[in-house]
This record gives sequence, C-alpha cells and structure tokens, in this order.
Amino acid sequence: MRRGWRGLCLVATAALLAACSSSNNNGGKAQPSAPAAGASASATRAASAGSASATAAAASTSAAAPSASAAAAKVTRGGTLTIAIDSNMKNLDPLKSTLLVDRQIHYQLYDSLVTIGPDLKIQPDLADSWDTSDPKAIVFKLHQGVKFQDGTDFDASVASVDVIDQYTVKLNLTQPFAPLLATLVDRAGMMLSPTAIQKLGDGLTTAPAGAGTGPFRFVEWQQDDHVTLERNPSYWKKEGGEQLPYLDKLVYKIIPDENNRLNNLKTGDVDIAQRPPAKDIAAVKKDSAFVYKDAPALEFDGIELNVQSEPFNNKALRQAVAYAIDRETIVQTVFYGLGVVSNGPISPPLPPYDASFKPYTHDVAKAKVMLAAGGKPNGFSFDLLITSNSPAQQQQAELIKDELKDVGITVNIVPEEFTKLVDDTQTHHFTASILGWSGRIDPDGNSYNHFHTGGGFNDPQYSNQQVDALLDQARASYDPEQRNTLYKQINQMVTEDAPWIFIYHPVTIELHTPKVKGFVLVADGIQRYATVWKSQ
Amino acid sequence: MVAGERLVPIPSALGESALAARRKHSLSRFIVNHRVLSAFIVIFVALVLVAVFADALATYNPTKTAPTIKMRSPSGAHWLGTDYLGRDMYSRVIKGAQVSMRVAVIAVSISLVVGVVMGLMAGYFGGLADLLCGRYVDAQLAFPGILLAIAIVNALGPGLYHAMIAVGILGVPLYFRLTRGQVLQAKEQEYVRAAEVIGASRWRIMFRHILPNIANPLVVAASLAGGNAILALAALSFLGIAAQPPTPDWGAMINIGKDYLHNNMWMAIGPGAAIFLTVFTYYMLGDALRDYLDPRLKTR
Repeated sequence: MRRGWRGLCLVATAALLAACSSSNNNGGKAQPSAPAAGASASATRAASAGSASATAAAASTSAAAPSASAAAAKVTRGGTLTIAIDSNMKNLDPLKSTLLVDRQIHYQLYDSLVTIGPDLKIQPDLADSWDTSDPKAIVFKLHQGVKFQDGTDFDASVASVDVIDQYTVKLNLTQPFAPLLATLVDRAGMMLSPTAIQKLGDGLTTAPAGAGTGPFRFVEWQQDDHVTLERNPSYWKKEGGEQLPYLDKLVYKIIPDENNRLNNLKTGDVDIAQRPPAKDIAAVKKDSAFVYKDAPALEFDGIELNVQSEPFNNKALRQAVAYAIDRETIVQTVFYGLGVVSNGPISPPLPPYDASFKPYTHDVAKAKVMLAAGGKPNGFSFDLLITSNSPAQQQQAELIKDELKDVGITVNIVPEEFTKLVDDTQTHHFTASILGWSGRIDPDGNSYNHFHTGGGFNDPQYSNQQVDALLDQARASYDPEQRNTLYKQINQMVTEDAPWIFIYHPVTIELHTPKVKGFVLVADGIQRYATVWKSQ
Repeated sequence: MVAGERLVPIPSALGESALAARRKHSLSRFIVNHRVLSAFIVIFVALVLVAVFADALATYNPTKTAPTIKMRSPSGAHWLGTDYLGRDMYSRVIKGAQVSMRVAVIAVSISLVVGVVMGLMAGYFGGLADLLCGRYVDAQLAFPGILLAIAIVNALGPGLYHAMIAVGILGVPLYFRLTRGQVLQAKEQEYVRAAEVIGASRWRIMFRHILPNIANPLVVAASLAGGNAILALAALSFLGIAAQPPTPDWGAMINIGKDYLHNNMWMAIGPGAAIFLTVFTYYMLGDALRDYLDPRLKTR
C-alpha cells in the first residue's frame, strides 16, 4: 500500500528536503535571521502535500512491504469511505469546539495556515512560508489561488489580523510565544470563508456547508447516527500531479460501543474503525483481513486529584497513591500493552520526553511510609469518578481499588456520565477523577493550561510558583534546547508534586481493511483522508 | 391464614376440605402428592442457602484481582474460569447470588407493602381513594416498565439500592390490582360484616380480617415477582446503572462478559446460567404454589 508514495517521493525529493528542513527550523525557531522562511516559500503545493506521505513511508512499521516500482497511476479514484467513529460530534465550528471527535471532521473541511506530518514537524499549508524574525510578531505568506468551497477567494482579507498585502498577513503578539505555530496547526489556525460565516451564522456549528478550503465539503449530519462529507472538486492540492482528494465521499458512522466498531469492520459495514477495543488487537494484528498500525500518542491519561481539599491537599498522601498503583500492570492488563507507563504530561513523541525518568515504581512499603508521613498510617477513603459505560475505565478503577486496598486506602468507584464528570472536575467538585488529555504537538499544549496556577485545564487547582515561572519561561523561549531542558524540569516537578497520578500514554491506532490505501498515521490522533483511496 | 382460621373461617381461595386434608398428610405424603412443588422448594432453599453462605462457599475473594491469570477457561483451580482482571468467576457468581437474592427480597417487599396497602385502601374505602390509586397505577402501567425503572434510577443516581427501589416501584401495580380485586370480593363476605357489627375499626378489618384471607394469591404473586425483580435488576445492571463495580452482580458480569464472547465466553456463561436457574426456580415455584394453594386448579 505504500508503494505509490515511495515512487512519488523519489520524484519530489529535492523539493521535499527543502520543505522539511525549512519547516524544521521554523518549528522551533532559534535564529532570528530565518533564512528558512525563504526556503519554505519554494515548497510547492505538490511537495507540501507529498511530504506527509514521504515521511509516513519512512516512519512506517507496516508489514505490507513497499516496493518502489509502482507509480501513483495505480491510485483508484472515487468510492465512499465509511468510518466508524466513537462519539457524536458537538460542534463543527472549529472556533467553538472542544472535542477530539469534532476535530476529526474539522480536518477534512478546513485547512490551517500550517500543518504537520507524521514527524510532527510544522509544514506549510495555506501559508507557504512565514517569518518569525521578530519574536513578538509573525508574518505569513499565503498560498495564492486557493478558493473556499463556496467560491470565495482565500486571501489576506480572511484573516482578522494585520494585512500587509493581498497575500501577506502579520500576527502581532503581546509577548514572545513559542508554541504559536503549533497552535495554528489546529483549530486556531483553520481558515473559514467570510462569506459563509456571514451567510450561515450559527449554522456553522451544525452544517458548515462551503465554509472551508479543505479536501471535503459538508453534506449532512444526522445527530447520533452519521456525518456525510463529499469530495471538494476544486481542492487546491495535488499529489504527484494528481488532483486530490481521491475519494468521492466520506461517511462517519457514529458507533459509541468499541466492540460494535470492530464488528462493523469485520462485517464490512465500515472501512475504517477508530479507537478499536484493546483486548482484540492481538487477534486483529494476526488477521490478514485487517491492516493495523500504531504509533505512540501525544495523549496522557491518569487520575486528577483535587489538591485544595481533603485528603489530597496533602502531598505525601498523593504520593502514597502514586506508589500504591501498579501502572505497568494496568497498561498490560487493561490496555493489553498498547501504550507505556506515564511519568508526567510530556508524552513520548514530544522532544523533551525523558524515558529514564521513573519516579514512582509500584512499592507497597513506600506507599505505607508516605501514608504515615501524611498522618494517615491506617489509610483513608476517597471517591474516584470514572466515566460510566466505559469498560476500560471500569477495569482500570477496579484494579486501582484492589491495589490501594493493599495499603489500607479505600476507593469508592463513582461512575458518571462523561459530560457530567468533565463538568464536576472542571468546577473542582471532585476528589479524584480519571481523565486524559489528547495531547498537542508542542509541550506547552500538554502542560501550561493544566499546571499553571489558574490555568484553564487546571482542574486539581495545583499551584507551584516555581512551575509557573518555568512554564512562562518555556513559552517565551524560541531555543529548542532550552525549551527541552525547561519542559523536562516541569515534567519532573509536576510528577513529583502529583496533582495528577499519571498512568499511561496510549498509542494512536490505524485500523482498516486492506482495500484502504494511502493512509498516513499521525500521533495527534487525527485521521486525514485527503490522500486516502480505496482499491476495488 | 392462621388469623383467618381463628375468625369465622370463610373459605375463599383455600377450601375448608383442603385445609383439613392437608393437616392429615405427613411430609412424605406431601412430597409424593406435590412432587414439583417439593422439588422447587428444595432448589429454592438451596439457592437461599448459597446466598446466605456465599462467603463460605466462594473459593476465592470475589473482588481480588490477579492480572497474571486473566481470562482463563474453567479449570480445577477456577471452576468457571477467571475474568478480565483474573478474578475467580465461580466465586463471583456465588457472591452474585447474595446480591440477587437481597434484591429480590427488598424489591418485592417494597412492591408488596406499597401495592397491598394501596389495594386495601382502594378496595375497601372505594371512592376517592380508589380513584386516586387506580389512576396512579393506570398511569404507571401506561409507561414501559424498564424505561420507568431507568428513569427512576437516573433520577436517584446509579446504585444498587436505588435500583432496588426502582424495581420495587415497578411491581406495585401487580399487587395493587390483585389486592384490590380480592378486597372487593372479600368485603362483601359475612366475616367482614360480622367484624363491622362488633365494631372493629376499618383499619383492623382491613389488616386483621381481610388481609389474612387474601394472602394466598399474594404469596404466589410474590414468588413470580421475585423472579421478575432479579431479571429487572440484571437488566439495570447490564445497562450499568445498578450494581457498581466491583460488586459481583450477575447482570453487570454479563454486560462486561458479552464483550469478551470471542476472548473468553465463560465470563458470560456463568452468570447467565445463574440468572436462568434462579429466575426459572422462582417462576416454577410460583406456579407450583398456585396449583397447591388454589383448589380450583387442582387436577389430582
């Protein structure tokens, strides 16, 4: 399935190298002179589209051996791709959405100023190049000749920032902000047609027809049943001279039960199953009826502890819980080894990730010492909120309850509906709560709002002035080395303080029938279908 | 029954001759004459004993995890295999009997007390009491039972005790209608008239005179309702809103077990068989009791 791309890469090698290296420099901006900006401007759109595939082939762990002989001509056009997705969407307006499932749709409808490949490096998208020589401003050169799906021209007038000329915009910052480009990859950087915004109004949230420049356009959304998108015939990207996208239609079937998603794939009712059940992966891997791949995800999962109320306002008691939980057993038993034990918010794909940092190993004796140090040698009890009807969370909680029992801590498992659980946790009406964060490509996105005093996702109400200072410093620095050092430090301090018990980093999974070709697995968990095609 | 005999014995559901005949029978005669009933009484008592002595009968702690031996098939060490966390399924199923039997007792008690009191008042007082109770029951019956239970549990919050209350409320109409019908018949009978004449209060007449005389059909209904209650609770647990983890509840076990049919079907078979056996026993016992207590259905 990879053969087409390999051939394509050879053709475009020179352009690719230019594009990759330049975006590299721009991703973690160090030199103020930024010669890279000019270089990336030379990256043609074919190259920028192809680069994702090229790096995918390189990073691929697929068993399907690629041979370089085949050409892009073998691509089959047309057809409907049916995807089993795990939840109903909430909001199709990228500026108002907060859910991962929404983003799965956004990425088909909208393009952003910049994008990423499987290597998580920033690449040009709607912006051909950018200049960050001024740490408090960034100037984007926009791609020319792009039209929104509703026919509106895409140019500088679209962006609500300083317009320099028709295809150049400038974003001013109040202070240096290193994660800016990474932020613009996602919803914040998605471009919407001003005409559509005016015409649709609130309709953008439920039926954003024609609002994006992306490879697919909106057709319909049947709540709790399916979302249908169709090919954008005037899409601006090509791959090796071939007009993208290849598919005629995307149908997202909303199937909350993970077993049903897999069963639908088995019966052929869907072509791709997102988030399949971990317990069946071993069998799926052996089955030639499926193509399976995974990659370490940006996500971290664990237990949030309310550090402002009893009993977890006591650091020693938080650490006692951390020592008492056998996280390796959770990863192996509940998640069937699909992922790694987490030792902080910095996940494996991020540059500052430090695999040698292992502060908490399962240690009952140490947990008891910490309990005594916290003034509760005989243990205590607390309520643990979990999402109802989530088998994985239930199993995890049952295991944790049993493990904590060994040190005298009683856990009361309290299942709540997901939105209520999120609400209770965000409003700090909780003691302990199992939650996760899908992760971002810049370490800032995995740490700042979660652990800075008063941060938007700081549900535990954690506050450490040293951590605050480090987070601010890391955000303002454009030096990748310095940032890595800072985030390593932040990761260590936060894990040591334990406002979260970090449990594991999952993997991002690609699972489909062998008919589906051209899939590119990216660690951010978003599936992008512009280059995907279906063989007959 | 006892109270009824002490008063003027007016045979209604239970004939006078049957009573007399029964006294003459020894235990062996009883068993020979009522084989089905005897058999299910034995099974039922065995189930109750399993529930009562569940902790002694369990070979392992039903909530103790052992991840290294997860999802094993039945073996000498684990008679029904192990579940996804390596817990012994046999011990969990046995312990689940305790949960289910407790539910049956509590939920049926709720239905019985509420339904019978409402039925007595509606039947005996008539008028406004009959109208209010009757309309309430009609309204409840117009609503699909399991949906009502789900709504009640969600309103009270998920949990085993809230589920018991919901299942108890579900059973109210059955007892109400049964009791009301029986009371309407009974209150025209002479022993009620006699009690009225000697000046017994209306509450005394209802609870000391009428109730003992209409107890037989209620006992039969209680047995059937016990089976219904276990099934309803299993359904609520299956939906994840009754018994909460790690409580070993049969419905909850099947809920998880159904996802593992390809991996280890024993996780669903054990609790499934337990529900079948228990509910079947309740129904058959109820059926046999009815045959025994209602002379009109006597065939031999």
